[in-house]
Amino acid sequence: MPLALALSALPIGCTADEKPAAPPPAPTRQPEPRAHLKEVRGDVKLKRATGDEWLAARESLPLFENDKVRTAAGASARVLFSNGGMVNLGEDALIGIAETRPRPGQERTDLTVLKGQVDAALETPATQSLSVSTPSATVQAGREIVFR
Amino acid sequence: MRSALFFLFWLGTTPSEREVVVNERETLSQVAERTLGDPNGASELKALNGLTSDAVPAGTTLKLPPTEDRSRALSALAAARNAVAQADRNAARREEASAKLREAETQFQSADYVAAAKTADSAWALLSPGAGQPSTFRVKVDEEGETTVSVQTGPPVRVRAEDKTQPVNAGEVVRVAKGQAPPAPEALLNVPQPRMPTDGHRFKFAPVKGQLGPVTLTWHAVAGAKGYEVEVLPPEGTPLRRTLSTTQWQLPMLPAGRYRWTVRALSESQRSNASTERLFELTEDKVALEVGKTNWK
Repeated sequence: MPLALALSALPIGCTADEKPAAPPPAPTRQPEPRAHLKEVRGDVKLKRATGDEWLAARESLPLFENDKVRTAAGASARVLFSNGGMVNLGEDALIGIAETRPRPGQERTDLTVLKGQVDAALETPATQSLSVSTPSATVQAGREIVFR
Repeated sequence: MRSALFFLFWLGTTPSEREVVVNERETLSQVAERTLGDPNGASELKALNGLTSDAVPAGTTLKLPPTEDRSRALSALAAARNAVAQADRNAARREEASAKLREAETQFQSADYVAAAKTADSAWALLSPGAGQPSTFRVKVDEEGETTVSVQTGPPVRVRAEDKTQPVNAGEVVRVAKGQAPPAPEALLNVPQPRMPTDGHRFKFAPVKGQLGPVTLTWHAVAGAKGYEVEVLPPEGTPLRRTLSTTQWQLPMLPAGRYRWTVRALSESQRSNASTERLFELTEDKVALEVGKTNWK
């Protein structure tokens, strides 16, 4: 099998005199969604980390690092994190999905609340965790989050 | 063909992502430090690779722990160690939790990461009140960036600011100003329960200048409340709102119709959720009207 792999890695028409083939490039990894948007009600907008535009949010949209979600008056939405944490956004709220990788001297967070109110829930806090940062504090629920 | 053979050689000599080759004059502790960032990880490598000695010949390929399982176990162990360290020495379950933590540490050293995480989690849960219940809490950020955290159910939520961590238990609330450490939490204000009128009650009044009433709304007092905010929604038009320090409000005379009302408790730093909505109806007393119209001689 390794032989077949090695031979198939050779370009067509490769001759014995050519230089050895370089190792194949690492496949580009698709970013993993950190959460999904659910129960979108009213005027809810989403801004991707990669864009500048606020777009209308839709049910089940994946949320990635540094994406932002905002709700207008009378609107609401639910953010479901991959680890089971759930956050309900009230009206007039602005949140950001935090980065996954830990940074030295900084606590890991899942979510940043910049404005408004969120109601958070962990079904099994003994095995789950949720960390919310705000302009004035960091809130950690469930099991403590420790990085090495 | 030579290039194919070179590639085959490259494949054969390059260890896979979760393996490592021992270098010349490298000890197992050094391998652990190089690969796991921890010289104490030598025991894990030993267990994982079924080694009987710390001396491993150069060129030996060693299996490395699965990153995710190990990281999860480390996190669970750290949480359990903190919980044991912070628990009151006389806490009823401290001994039991300490024994479980020791068991988890042994499982970790034996590279049984899944079991270690599970045992460490159970040690943490023993010392965390409400750990068996779902954790529900609210985070509110106002225009000035001030944060209010209130905890409804589950184990304590940790609020951290300015290098101080403040546990907030279920039924408590804390407000953190920008640049300030979290203060001691206070009891969460309960939602007031409306008393009278009962839901759906229909009042009959003789109209006075086309208006009916007065109706008095009452509700049960809430511990810690300094006042109450009442909102009355008429069938149409602007809602009536009043903040009172008592547990009743005599409404002004109102036009006939169906009215909905709610009440919230207030303290210096809190505004509770609104009570469940109650409904009352104001109708004209027909009998009284007819008396006025009789044509008696």
